[in-house]
Amino acid sequence: MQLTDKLIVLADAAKYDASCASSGAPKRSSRGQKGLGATNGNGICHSFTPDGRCVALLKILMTNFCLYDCQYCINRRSSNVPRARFSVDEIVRLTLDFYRRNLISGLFLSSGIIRSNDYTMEALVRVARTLRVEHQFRGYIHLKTIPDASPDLIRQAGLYADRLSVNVELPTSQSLNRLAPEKSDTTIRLAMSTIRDGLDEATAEPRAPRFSPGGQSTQMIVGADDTDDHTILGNVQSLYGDYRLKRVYYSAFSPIPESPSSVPLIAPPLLREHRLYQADFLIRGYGFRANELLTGPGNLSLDIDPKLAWALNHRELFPIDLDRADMYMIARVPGIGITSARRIETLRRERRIRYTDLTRLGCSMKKLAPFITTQDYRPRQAGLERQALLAQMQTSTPAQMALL
Amino acid sequence: MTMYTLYMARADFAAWRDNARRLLAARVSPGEVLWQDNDSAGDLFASGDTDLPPPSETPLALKLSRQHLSRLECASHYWPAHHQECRWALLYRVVWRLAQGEGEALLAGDTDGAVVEQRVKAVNHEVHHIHAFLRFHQQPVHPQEQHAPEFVAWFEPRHDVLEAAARHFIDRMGQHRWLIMTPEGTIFCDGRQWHIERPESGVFTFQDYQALSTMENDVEDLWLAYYASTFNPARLNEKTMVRSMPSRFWRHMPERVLITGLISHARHGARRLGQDSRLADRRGHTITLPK
Ligand code: SF4
Repeated sequence: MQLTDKLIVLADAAKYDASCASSGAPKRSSRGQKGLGATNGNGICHSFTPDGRCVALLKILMTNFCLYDCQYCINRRSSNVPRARFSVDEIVRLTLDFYRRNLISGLFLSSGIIRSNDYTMEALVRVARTLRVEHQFRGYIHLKTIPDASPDLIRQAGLYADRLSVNVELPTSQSLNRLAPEKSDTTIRLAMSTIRDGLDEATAEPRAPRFSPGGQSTQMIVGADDTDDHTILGNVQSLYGDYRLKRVYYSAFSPIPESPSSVPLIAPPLLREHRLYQADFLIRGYGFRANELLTGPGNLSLDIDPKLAWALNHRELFPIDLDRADMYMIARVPGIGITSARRIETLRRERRIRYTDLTRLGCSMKKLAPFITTQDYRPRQAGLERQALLAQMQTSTPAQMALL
Repeated sequence: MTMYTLYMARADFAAWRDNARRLLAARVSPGEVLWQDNDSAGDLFASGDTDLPPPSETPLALKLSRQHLSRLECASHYWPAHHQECRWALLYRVVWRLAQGEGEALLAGDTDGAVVEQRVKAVNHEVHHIHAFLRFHQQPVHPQEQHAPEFVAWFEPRHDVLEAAARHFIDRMGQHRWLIMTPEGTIFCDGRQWHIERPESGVFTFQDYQALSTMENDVEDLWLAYYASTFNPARLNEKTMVRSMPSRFWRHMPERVLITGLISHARHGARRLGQDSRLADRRGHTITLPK
């Protein structure tokens, strides 16, 4: 098979994984040195495809041959797709050639499981080692970890990769048992612990071997089973706590050709994925607890974002006075982000806050209006009830309908 | 009231700093200075700067943190549109106000501070664009030609981002020799050091660039194969793509030839599934577990 053909097959097979950011690596430079590549912590999107997604890394599978039969996956053994396998050299050559032309910032490598878990993991590590050692490649490398691989191989992977990830795949262990019979929640979590321990050691002991400096992440497929957002966010919150995860990625289930009857035939609305990302961000960046965002079973509202939904449910806390409120509360106002909250705090050390300052800070005026007061502004809506406020704020775009 | 006129070179923050220091020392208020960019001044250029007055008995001085200084420098890399205020005048008013004790002048909530902030953002955004969307083309270089660039690129930035690009690409490219040409100047790196050359008059053009570059194809074809295949037609979302990758950059990106085709294909049916339609018709095979 031609290299181009392999690339088409193995990029297609890898595109369902959303966790392809190139951020979080330590500072590295090849200035004046042999070798190639740099990282500086910030991710770069070198292109965007018409699905609106960022192309930061060469995201491919080493092979899409797979012995497993995960129902939601296009590469499962019972799927009738063209199969291919890259050699180590082919992956290395593609990575370096694309990198030199500034098409990518590094490699995201995953694989179907061939022969055995260790055999597969070993092959992935070999690619990373060849890039790092033989070619002194200093760009970004993200390796997808095979959960059942031996801890020793995972440690080796950590020597070369900037980020390691093990996918939890599905939001609950029941769903995993049903849809990915060969996988187990226990081994996935064991692999995540191995990575966490490696990270802990590397932080605690400066002379410990390098270990995945960009941390670990995971991905969860949304909409392949019927788990609700309440359960998802609850589980995600404990994942963040238990495994020092940098990020949880949500991937709305994409229907696959010759779909087995165990998974749905249509995709969940992409807006659901978007709301989960927003809620996730509030948990990571704003100190929200999962049960504040969704107090009972059910899904996040598709009509309004989770921060606005939370504020509307807590009318008793608002409006707040921007000259006095805690920064923590300011950041909880819909329409005011963390950066603006910090800027408000700095500005009010110089003088009192005026309503127009907020426009200049780029806040979303329509959203924040009912929730704040300043020396020259009080909301007219202060007394309005939740429903009335909601009606007033709702933009003309109703919830996006699924297109099919 | 005397009006002082000062002419500024295209990218000379150091000269502005120098002038600003002397103006503050002489207590010349922002309203008394006319800053002229050389590129906008035309033949007025010949008339030269007005001599600045000697320091006042009660000179103003200003100590700026390094962070604030680099903010000002970054804002000075912004190329204003015709209706927008000259960069040097804006910056001088800011330091004048700071020197009077108006600490808010550099904060994003202030009227001037907001403009500085908006310019810093625009410049940084453009830096990000050149880091992301610039494309190098490998040149057929004979091993004997030890000074010819191995990789060349053309880019049309909206603001002055040459230095930021130079620092970035020297980190990435190791000992490769490369050249980036833009209308306002080129960066050449010999694998150890870079230097920037600005055109003596006028600007460099794309024709200038074409004259010194050869297009290559193999890697580009592989890239196009990858781009089409990593696209998921089931998630078509052109708006986000265009917002994140403004179309003014497409002209020099190889994938431009695929974009419309992929979109219309996705609209006409392919969006039911995520799979690349080039694969849908091909024979696949299932795998039997080893006994
Ligand atoms: S292990 Fe499961 S998810 Fe991974 S490639 Fe194989 S079938 Fe797909």
